[in-house]
Amino acid sequence: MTNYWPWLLLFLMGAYHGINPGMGWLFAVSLGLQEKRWQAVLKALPPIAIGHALSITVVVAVAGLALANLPLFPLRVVVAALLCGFGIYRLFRSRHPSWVGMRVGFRDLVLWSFVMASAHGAGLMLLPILLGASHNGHPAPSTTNMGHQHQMHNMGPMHDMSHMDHAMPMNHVMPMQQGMQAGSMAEMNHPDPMQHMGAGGHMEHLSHLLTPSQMATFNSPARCLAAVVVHTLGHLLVSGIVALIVYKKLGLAILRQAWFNLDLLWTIALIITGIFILFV
Amino acid sequence: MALWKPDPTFYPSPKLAMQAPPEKLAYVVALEPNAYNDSGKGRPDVLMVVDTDPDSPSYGQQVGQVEMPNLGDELHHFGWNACSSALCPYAPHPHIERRYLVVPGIRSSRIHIIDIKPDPRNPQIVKTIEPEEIFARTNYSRPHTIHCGPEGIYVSALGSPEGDGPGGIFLLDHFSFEVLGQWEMDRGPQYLHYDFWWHLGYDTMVSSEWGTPKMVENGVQPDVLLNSGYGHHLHIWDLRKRRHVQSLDIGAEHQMALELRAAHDPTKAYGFMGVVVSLKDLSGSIWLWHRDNSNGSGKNGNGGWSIQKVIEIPAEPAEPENLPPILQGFKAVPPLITDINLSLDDRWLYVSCWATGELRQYDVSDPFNPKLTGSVHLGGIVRQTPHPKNPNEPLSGGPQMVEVSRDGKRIYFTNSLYYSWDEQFYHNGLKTWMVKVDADPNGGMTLDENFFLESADYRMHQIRLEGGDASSDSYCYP
Repeated sequence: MTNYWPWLLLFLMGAYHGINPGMGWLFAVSLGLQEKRWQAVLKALPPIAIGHALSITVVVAVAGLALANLPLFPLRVVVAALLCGFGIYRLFRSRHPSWVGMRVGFRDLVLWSFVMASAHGAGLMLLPILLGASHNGHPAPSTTNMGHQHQMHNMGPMHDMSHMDHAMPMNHVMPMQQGMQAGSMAEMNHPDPMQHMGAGGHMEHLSHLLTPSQMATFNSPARCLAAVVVHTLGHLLVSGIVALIVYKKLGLAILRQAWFNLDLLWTIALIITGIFILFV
Repeated sequence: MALWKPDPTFYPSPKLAMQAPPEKLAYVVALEPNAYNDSGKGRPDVLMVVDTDPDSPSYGQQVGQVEMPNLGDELHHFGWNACSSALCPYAPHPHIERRYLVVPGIRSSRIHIIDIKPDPRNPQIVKTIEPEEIFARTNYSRPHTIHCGPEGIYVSALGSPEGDGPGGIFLLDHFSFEVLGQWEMDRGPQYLHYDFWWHLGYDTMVSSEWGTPKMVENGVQPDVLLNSGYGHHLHIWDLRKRRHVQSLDIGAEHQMALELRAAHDPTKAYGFMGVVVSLKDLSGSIWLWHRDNSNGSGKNGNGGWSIQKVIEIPAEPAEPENLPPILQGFKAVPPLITDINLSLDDRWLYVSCWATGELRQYDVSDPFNPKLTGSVHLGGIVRQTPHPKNPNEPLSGGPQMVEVSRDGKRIYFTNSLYYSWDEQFYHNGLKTWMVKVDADPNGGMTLDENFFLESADYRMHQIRLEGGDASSDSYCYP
């Protein structure tokens, strides 16, 4: 059973983090403006990405260890509680790290980005993907049905919906898709067979590295590292593009109009995913 | 609750803030003089709301006020809970609201949090921080200037709870208004304190020196003054490490280094400091501090700073019978530079000469060589120049707290300095007024004949303009 969705989602979450002005691109722009050189914008991006990656690594590593050693259901309950708790805390206490300082070097930026990502629970956002993917891929092919059986017992009211999903070939809806990306989900469901075909073709080398059955389980160091890299690439790419467009073309006035409160959206999404994770 | 989009009064850069719509309201703190004398008839101080919308029938009049809960706070300077610095990249929180005025009493050490959102013309006190809390948490007293920083509210304080030094800065949380404690980690030789501001682009704070509470609360002390006991240093701080970096001494003959106006553009590393009086010739002066790598090295590795005099305003000869006792021996009126303000484009510097009754405008495009471009006379110890709206009424007091609109076109000022000093220099009584000047974009200024607000009961001090003004916000982007 092959599943590339987790990788795509990890990348998209990276992009979502990358577009948030508080996660780095704005700092890069301001450094460019302060030094009056666009190269300063570029120079700031790698340390910001590294700091972000480090913060993500902490969560992914803990999740990976837990996935490798603990049964899935209690883990889901813990993660659900964690997400809801953190989300509610941030809803009522929307704080920000009290960092001070514009004269930052490489190490400062790494640390700053680490602090910002951690304080916003950036890594927590990935938990549903890691957990959902493991729920799909964790059991070896021969035990897949058993896994499903086991799960259906726990499903309760969600049983019917889940069953319908199973009726669709090769498509197992994941909590992230249900909880947050309902709009794009349909779109993403569509190309699934294509990708499945791809797995047998030019993506074979990847399949070789990570056997298809365990493609998306995040219980080994290599796969956890890959998750961090994929996510960080999404972050770096989007924050870099946005930073350069704002610096070169749009200008800062865009901030007044377009700086949507992603943190609040994020907080609400955390709570919703926390709730959904219990039911998948 | 947080907003979904940034507060519309936040602007990333001073340039963008200049496009802000004109203010329709001004907030003015005013003290009730009888609360500070022996009359026994005192009432609490107030925050006044003044209509600044020229299309409104009540233009130039007071349209609201809120009375403080206690007597004798001596409201002086005040500021916002949040401002454009919320957009700064390193601690962004742009979805906080500019909604609360933080209004300290410089005599009582009490801080009032006043909500202007439900009804901007009828503000409400929503929280009071009692002096004991400030004493216990900061070991400071006499809170004064408020600046909304990128990661908290900075408050200057003149001294210790006992009325001595050192004075300094403490922090308030900008969500909960909790008193967080002293800002300084290492104050070096700094002891006296007055104003502060910063260069956010250089992680640098600057602070100035007046005197300890005991040196100022009962008026100017001639013996202290003649012994050069008041402040004459500018202090440079590492904003990030909260450490003293450098002291710039302007010379002991210069007394009372007060208002600091740093360039608004965060890429520019200079600013202006107003100095009240020189013992040598009673002149007042403006000093330019600027980054200067040749002058020692700052401990933060950012290079040193230097300071030099760029404006000197001479005293004016006067007959002793026209002067208050403290000045009679000098046979002259010093200008007494008590406030300065810099427009958001860093081009126009306004200078209040409180005792001679003059507001000056300088073109500081070249900060090292300011050019005098405008002058308005109003009040003054000797001149007592009347306002054009009432040409037969000699005015007491002189231009004092001055505020510049974000677009730089309108300048507002009031005439009261500080209760005990008002009494000393305007010993025949000070009747308060607030006026407005229209600034010509090419230089020069004229009094608005239709804006002349007087009050028989209060003395007006600092002005804050709705949505922000030229001394309320700081910016992280050029």
